[in-house]
Amino acid sequence: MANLTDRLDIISNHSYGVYEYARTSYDHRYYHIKTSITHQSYLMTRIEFKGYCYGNNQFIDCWWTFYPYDYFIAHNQGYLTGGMIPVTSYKSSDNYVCVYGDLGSNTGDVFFNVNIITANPTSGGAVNTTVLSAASTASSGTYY
Amino acid sequence: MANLQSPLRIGTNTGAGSSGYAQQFQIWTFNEFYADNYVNHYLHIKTDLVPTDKIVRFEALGYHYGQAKFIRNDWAVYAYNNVVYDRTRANYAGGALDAYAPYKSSDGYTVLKMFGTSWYFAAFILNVYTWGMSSTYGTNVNVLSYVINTNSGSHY
Repeated sequence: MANLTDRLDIISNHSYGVYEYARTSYDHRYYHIKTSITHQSYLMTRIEFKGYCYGNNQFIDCWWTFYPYDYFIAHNQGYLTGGMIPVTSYKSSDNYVCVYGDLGSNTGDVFFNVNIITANPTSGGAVNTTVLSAASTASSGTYY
Repeated sequence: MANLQSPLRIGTNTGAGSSGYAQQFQIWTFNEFYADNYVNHYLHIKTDLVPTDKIVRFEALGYHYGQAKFIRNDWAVYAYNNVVYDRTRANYAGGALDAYAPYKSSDGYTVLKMFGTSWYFAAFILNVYTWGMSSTYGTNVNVLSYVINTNSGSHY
């Protein structure tokens, strides 16, 4: 049995438990994370949120994929279940890649985990990523 | 190479009073060869989750050779005040098995239930996601026993 109190990094580009979130208040919230991935890092990335929203009684299973090339490409996003609807990925004012999603109108007692897969074929390797900052907001739109 | 024995538990629940790990992979493996297919049988999985204010998401992931389909099912369980609440479940299009309502065993544990039109060469792992808010909702979960039969009600 393996109990890891911190994240698990596998072959340097597949990380489980990069970040955890839980919140109890019942209201409409959007959730943003600011990653350590910089614009023009050429780091192809998939970010996954996985959890459950008691207030909306829906599972959270959503993802974003992007490629921060010479210009930022938000390639794709999607979800299996409606606990969180991805809104977009975007570049922060200080040049980091962020993602955010809509937790819906009744978000009470919500939790999710963040897992990240990266690859970087143009430079032959990948890097571990972190969440630099996270925030929930009452209104839509970019935050960072 | 690192080979980590199951269950693999990652990330402590950080809320005050919480315990357990946020992501718990392969807390149990179902890996059975039923030559007679076990047509229209129910799988009852008895866990050690007791209804003392816990919110848990279960996830079954695997493959059903007999049906040539994937296995993926989810349960959200609110085990509270001596009651096992069936919050919601997910069966995905193209999947082999159906998640049925969980129930409380006669000795007070949470039991998951699945239905299959057949069980010939079916295998899956069971993962758990728990809760790290400022309460007691998080916990580690283990499987105590299981049985497969035609009982559509409560076996345990």
